[in-house]
Amino acid sequence: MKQFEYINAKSIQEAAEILSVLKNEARIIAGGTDLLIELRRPNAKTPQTVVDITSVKELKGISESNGSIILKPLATHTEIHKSDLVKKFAGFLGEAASVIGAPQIRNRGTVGGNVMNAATCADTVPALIALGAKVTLHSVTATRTMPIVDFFIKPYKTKANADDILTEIKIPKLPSGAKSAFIKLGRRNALSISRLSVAAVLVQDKSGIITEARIVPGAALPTWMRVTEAERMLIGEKPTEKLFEAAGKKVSEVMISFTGRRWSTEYKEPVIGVLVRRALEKCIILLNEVRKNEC
Amino acid sequence: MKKFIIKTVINNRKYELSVSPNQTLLDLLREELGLTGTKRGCEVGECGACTVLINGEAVNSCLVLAPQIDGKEVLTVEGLAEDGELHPLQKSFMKHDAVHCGYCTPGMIMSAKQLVEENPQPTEEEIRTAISGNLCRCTGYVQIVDAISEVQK
Amino acid sequence: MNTKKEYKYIGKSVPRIDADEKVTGQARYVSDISMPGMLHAKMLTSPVAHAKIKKIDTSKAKALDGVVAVLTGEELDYHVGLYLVDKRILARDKVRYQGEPVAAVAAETLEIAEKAIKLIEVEYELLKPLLDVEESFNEKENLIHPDLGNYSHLKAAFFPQPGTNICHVSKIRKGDIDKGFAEADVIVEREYNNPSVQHVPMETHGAIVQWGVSDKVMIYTSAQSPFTVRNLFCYTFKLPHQKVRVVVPYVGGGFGGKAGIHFEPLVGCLSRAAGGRPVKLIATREEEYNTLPCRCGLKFKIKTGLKKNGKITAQKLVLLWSAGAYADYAVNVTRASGYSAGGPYYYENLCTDSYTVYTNQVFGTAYRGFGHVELFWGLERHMDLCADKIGIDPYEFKKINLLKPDNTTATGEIVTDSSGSVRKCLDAVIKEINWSGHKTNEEKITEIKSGKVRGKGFAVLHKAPAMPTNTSSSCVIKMNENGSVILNVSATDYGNGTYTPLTQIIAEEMDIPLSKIHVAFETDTDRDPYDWQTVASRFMPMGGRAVINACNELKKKMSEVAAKVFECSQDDFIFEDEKIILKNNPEKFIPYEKLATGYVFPNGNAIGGPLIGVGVYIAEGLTNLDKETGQGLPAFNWTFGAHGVEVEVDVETGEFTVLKIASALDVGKVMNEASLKGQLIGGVVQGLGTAICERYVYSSDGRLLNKSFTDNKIPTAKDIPNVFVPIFIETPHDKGAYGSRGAAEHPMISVAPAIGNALKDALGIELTEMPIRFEDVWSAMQKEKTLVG
Repeated sequence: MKQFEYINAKSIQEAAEILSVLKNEARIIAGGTDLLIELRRPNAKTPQTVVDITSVKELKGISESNGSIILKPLATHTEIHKSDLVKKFAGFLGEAASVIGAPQIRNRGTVGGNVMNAATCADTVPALIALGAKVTLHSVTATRTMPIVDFFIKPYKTKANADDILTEIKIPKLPSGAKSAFIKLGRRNALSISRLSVAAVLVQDKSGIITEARIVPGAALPTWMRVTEAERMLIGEKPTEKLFEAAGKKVSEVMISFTGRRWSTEYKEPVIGVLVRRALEKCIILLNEVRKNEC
Repeated sequence: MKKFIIKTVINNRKYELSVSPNQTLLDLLREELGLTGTKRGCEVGECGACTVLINGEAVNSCLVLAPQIDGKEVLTVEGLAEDGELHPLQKSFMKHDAVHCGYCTPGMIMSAKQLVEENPQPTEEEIRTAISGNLCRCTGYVQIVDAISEVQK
Repeated sequence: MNTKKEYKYIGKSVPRIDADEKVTGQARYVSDISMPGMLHAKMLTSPVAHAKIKKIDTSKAKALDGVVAVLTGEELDYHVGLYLVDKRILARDKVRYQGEPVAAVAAETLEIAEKAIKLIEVEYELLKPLLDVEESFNEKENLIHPDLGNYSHLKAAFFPQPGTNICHVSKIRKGDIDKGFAEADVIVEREYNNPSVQHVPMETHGAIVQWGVSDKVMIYTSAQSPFTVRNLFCYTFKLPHQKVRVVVPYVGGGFGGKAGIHFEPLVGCLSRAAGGRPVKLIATREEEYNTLPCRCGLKFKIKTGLKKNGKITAQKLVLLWSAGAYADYAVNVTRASGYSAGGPYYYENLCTDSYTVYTNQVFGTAYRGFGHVELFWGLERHMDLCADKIGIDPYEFKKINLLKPDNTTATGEIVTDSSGSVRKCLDAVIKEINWSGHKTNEEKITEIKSGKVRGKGFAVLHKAPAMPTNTSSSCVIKMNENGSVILNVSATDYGNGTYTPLTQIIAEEMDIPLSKIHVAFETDTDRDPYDWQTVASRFMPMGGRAVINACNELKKKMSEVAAKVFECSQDDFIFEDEKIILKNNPEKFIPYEKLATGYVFPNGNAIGGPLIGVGVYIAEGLTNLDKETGQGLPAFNWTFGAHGVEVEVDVETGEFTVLKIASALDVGKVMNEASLKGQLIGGVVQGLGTAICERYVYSSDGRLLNKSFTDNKIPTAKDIPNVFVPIFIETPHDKGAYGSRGAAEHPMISVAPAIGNALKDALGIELTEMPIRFEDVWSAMQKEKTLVG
């Protein structure tokens, strides 16, 4: 690694002030699981200063506030996976956090890093989109909050400015009775083809009719988004294999409408459909379990 | 380039160190402190050979900057034995033929250490998950899993 | 050799003698060593696959503070090589693969060396890269090595073809191939493919060299074979052997990738250029993939003639080995796989052409299995296809054709009762996976509808050490004052675990407790006696014999002294419980420690002297192979084996899991059960990696695209089969120590075809390319229209 200056910021304000001066010449480090890999590359652009925010207390923790989960950016994947609050109100986010990298990465890597780095394979992102999370960015000049779905432009590109610090991810709790699932293809990240994933949420009414559905594929679309065309097919229907298959097919159609057909499409097209169907089925299994317990 | 004075505890010993910002914890341990038990394998956090514990959590020391351990406690493989007595994991690894070339062993044991501290009776699946960030090319992992499952905290 | 039926130490699960140092982090590897005044080196590597070097400007790098030496190929007029001496220390005139070192720097710190490398300017004139082995095989104009005809090479074994990109061809001609095909009822022909892969030792290559005064050279290196490093180093620089000392500390895995010679000449030259200061070079993981050698790629065709009753009448194989840019071990891989190419089957008529072909890719070297992993992938998939084509169960088909005593092998060697039994291995795994024939199509279709489909498959294997006819080992056993012993050998224990059973041999032969036997690590060519190489799964059977011989010499020396003490014949003694005892009068004995440095009579007279036992062993009776027919005796022994697997496939995504793998090897004699099991399971998982996920991916202009663990990963603890069943058959070998055969490479061979055959059983799919990724399974299923509708 080439040389750089290092500042251990003690508050959001301090970090924001440094960024306001140095802008692109500074990079924030939290878990370091992405940044240090990047800086080690032979042709890396080395910043003048690395700003360590891991001592900033205001950026730590997972808490509850007015029907929302407040996820501070320094929450590690391990913390998210272990959080009872996440388990209870955003189950699939915990599942997604538990399959990122290996334990050493989950112990160190943060949700803030996952969001700000916006890598194609950032596993927490599909769930955060499905949850309708909002991100708050802070700089010396402004504090702004926006839906996370608007935050991403494309993989590795977000609306954050060089002087922005992510200070909070606010997640509306899933409605009571909702069940969620996260499914990822394969464990091996050897090729992008195997990074396909799906985050899904379903709510049923007492008669079993689906009243709400959310589907967000990972590594399939140019950026992360809910596939509303597929979601709409589910609303007002009772769950059947055929219905879920149709929803899956719709997701692959949407995928192809964006990406066109490439060498990998032959495989991705049917398989993303299968993953969607399985994620929805998993939600139903969880919903049925709840019902059984209620009876 | 400015150096940083940090206070840290490594293997239960207090240190006050002057470190460079672009130095990783791995470099600090190996090149400055002579703690070469922690191995360099890939420097991108994929192989786990450099695993150490920071405040009890397993991390890849290649992905931690040296200044980041200010105020933290670090444990490396050299700090596992107490009063000349090997840690039960170390003994179990020896007994189960879980050590072949030995290069992954220190990191592997450190990952296992976090697991057995937090989960006194891990299942085989939990053990496999706990060491899934530690690559081993020699053993095929079976004897390593056996060695860890025999150790009760 | 001790021939008792019941052994006290042999075969027992004795814990590894080096494990204590490894679990505490005290074991010292090359990268852990530093020396006073040591400099750090870094290489500049070629960004292009094939080009002329027009100009290199190192002036800016030389001017940088802290840089002590800068070298380019222009300054190093040396050739390095094993069998065919075709390589430069740094590329000179042209580069032949992307990743090839073109310049190197030694500096006060690694950081400065890295900075200096970036200041070196190189101008290339691009040449067309040859990336396809077939294209390169047929090419006559675009030559990767235009000087092929002038390279020195081992003429008895290797046959370069000047004016082409073919650096060696091995042939087997047995029987009458045309007659064999004419007799066949059915002819089956298919092509198979393997990409290059990496060995991935967890410790990358590294070396520290000090080229000192009067050309005294000190080398610390992570190598498998210290004497080979010394010999090739001396050959390259025309140095006398006594001046070069090679020390191999603990080595973090090798798998063939650390056989031969690698960084040592370059680091030596940097040290010489730096006025004799020691220089250290440790490969990054990316360099391990991209600059150091990999496993060769292989494209091959098998054509088989069959009788309807299942008998093979003829087989013809054409193997195109993709050597990459340099011959290194590829020529010998070609040779060994050439004479093994039929596998453990009997052929009346066999014809094999095995070629080594240069391409503009990372060069290939020895890798666990030495060509057999790649060869058996095709061969055992092919045998399944043959059985299919004549409608015979593959197990029955194999039983008809497997080698039996009195058969001749491909090179004309006669199989005997002590050769080992492939049939016993196959039977053992067949039983373990409960094979009862392929599923019917109806059964397959029913199962596919359920979503999860299971299949069973099996594959046999064999391999002999690929070694020179005069391969030898030696050892020295020195007795200490307390009657304990130190064993010096120069074959290395780089994770293979061979040293521990050597202590068991000494304990058995001498009746000394294991706690009093020490094997000296940090192998040292100045201290330890000669050994050819630590490769080819040959050290246990052959080096073990040297250790037995050294024990016998120790015992003979003890007997000479004791005979004088008791005034009797030297043949009157037994050796028990650390004592030499008079056979007919057990009251009369001398403890070993009284003999260790010389025996002293009560009156003070002394006889004998320090006890040192020397043991040597050399392979005898092996011959070179005939250039045209390949006939001869190339092998010390053959180790046979078989794997049986059960897989489960997710038919919607192609993901599959190996539920169980049973592996049987005829090892002759189990020397250390725990250690052997460890070798077997480790090898099976390495075979699994090669079968399911590992491979080199190149861009169309020859750049390696996946040179890191992020993109080219090996199996983790979560990727391994649920159940392993190691099985050891013990048909004693007549030459190996205690009847043992090598078994280090074999577990990795034929794992892939066993899985391929199981996937065929599950889904009817025919896979011919490694690795088998889940998208490949899925794609193959789409082609099998009868099953998916």
